[in-house]
Amino acid sequence: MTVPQSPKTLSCPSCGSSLTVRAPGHSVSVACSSCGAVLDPNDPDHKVIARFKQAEGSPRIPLGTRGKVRGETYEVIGYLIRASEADGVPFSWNEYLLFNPYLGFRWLTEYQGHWIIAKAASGAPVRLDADVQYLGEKYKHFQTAKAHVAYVMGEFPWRVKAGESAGVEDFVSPPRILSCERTEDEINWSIGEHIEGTDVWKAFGLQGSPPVRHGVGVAQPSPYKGKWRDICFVFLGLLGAVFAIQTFFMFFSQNKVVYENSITYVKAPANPGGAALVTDSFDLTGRRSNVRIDIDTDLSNNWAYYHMALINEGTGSALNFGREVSYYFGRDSDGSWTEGGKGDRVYLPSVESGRYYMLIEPETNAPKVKYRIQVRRDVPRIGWMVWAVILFILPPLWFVYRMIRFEHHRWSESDHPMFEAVESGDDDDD
Amino acid sequence: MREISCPSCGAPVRFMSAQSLLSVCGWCRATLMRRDLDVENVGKMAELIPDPTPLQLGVEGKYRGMHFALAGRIQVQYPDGAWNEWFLFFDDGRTGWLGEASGTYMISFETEVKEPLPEWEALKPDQEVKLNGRPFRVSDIRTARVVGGEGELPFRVMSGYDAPVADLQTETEAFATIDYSDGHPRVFLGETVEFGFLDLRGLREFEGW
Repeated sequence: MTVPQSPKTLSCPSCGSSLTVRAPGHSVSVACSSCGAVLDPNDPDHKVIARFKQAEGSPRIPLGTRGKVRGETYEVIGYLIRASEADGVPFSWNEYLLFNPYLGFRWLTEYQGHWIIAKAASGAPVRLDADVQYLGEKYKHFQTAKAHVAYVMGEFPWRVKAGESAGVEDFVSPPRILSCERTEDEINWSIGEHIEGTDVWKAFGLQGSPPVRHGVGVAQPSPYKGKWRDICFVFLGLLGAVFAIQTFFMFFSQNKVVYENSITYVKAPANPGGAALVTDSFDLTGRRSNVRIDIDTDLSNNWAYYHMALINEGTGSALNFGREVSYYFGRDSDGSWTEGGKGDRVYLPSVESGRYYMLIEPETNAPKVKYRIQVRRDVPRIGWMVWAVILFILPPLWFVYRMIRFEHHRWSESDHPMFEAVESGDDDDD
Repeated sequence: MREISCPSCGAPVRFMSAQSLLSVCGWCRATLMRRDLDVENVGKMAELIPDPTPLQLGVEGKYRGMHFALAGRIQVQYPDGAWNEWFLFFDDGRTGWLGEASGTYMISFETEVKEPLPEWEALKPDQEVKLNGRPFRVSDIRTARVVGGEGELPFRVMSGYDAPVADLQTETEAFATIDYSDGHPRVFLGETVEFGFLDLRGLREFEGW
């Protein structure tokens, strides 16, 4: 039995150019790149079966180039430019047909610098409304378009027909893409996977660099998706640490009342402002930590200003500070209102241990103010925790923003853009 | 294994398996049917179409750990090429089929199914058919043109006849073929496999590959 094994050469019956058949026995159409004639290599007369009026086209990977893609050797035997349009905007992509006599055919497609290596699907994906399921994985509908062949070169295992358009549906689950091609008499499913342009160049030993990529590829894996879990873990870890530290402080803070007194201040007309109160001495113990001072008054539509000093008996050093309390209320056309409050609270951070007393000197318009003062040592605070949580949540928020932006760019070319206001996707995300 | 001399040309013809009903003489293409202790020459088998298959009789491989050899084939012609069904002998005595064309490889086994099968005339594309409880969908209904066979085969294969067959798919690699050419439908259940998965040895060589 004579079997076609090695490449054979034939001449184009239309223009006489020499054509190489690289997959004899498999190829059913051979396109002459010089004149656009497509002929049947198995017909003894090499009958022309279709004719393309084609413009210039030159594959970036020349026909006959061999390369090792994912460990398997293939030869480029065919090249197509396929064209379509979306919302009235024409676009086109490149398809390279790869062949290996043992492994059959693969497709290498390139659109805007994004590459996909594809093969025939081995099962029939199941439709779920608009989406499909294949091998247990869900693929989201990306685009439905009509595509036609704009340029043809090399050989193909099917009859290339001029002017025939195919309905193409793409479904994605990055880095994979499922495509369904429908012609009058056939439905073909293929399963593809994203491949880096630089890997294609390396695989086929090509000179220069692959075409620059624009936007986000349909099946380009998101650099964010896999890291999402890690980010969540880190965030939750930090949150846990914050709560642990807080709990620790709650347990080990003294949170102890060291001085408390209720005082009635009566304005002495003869001696305005001269009614300073000197408190009893009290001990601030333990590590250097905060002191909280609360004042509660019975002010009503009035104000009071407290000049205060915390004085260390041992060293004589004084911490002077002032607090204002004002409380007003009333009723107007909008109803009742209040302003301010009857009390005040202040934290004095980082006070050394020692024996202390306070000087309190109120100043007020009220003839008489009753107030209560309380001094607390080493009070656990939660304010820092709020800041810590805000600080820790910023990186995940930024991450989510980047992740959504990436998907937005991917889907902006689809039938289902994520946001209606489509910006021009001109920044390159790699 | 049994070896006889071809009654037509005298060349040695082998019957490796008791399940082989016929063997085609590799030399003169006489179709030899097994008859008790003897063989009967039932006619000359047509030449197969030269096709670019990487497989040939004698190729060995492994499927799920079980060694097999290619003992025969049936070639089916399509408008754009040929499809081969290779008859497999497994070391454990089972027989199976390796369907192959253009780098697609499908292993299947003839299987009795408990469900009643649809009539050929009643088949519709995309129809659901349950085979041993598993749902399949009819993906292709066609009349395949059988060119002929070579080597050993488990049923009578003639030169050039039309075989009504239905292909059924699932969402996965699992597939089924129902062959209606024999009066009663025969069901073959199997799966699509990768070339590398079969660990094939003794393949044809292609210049430059």
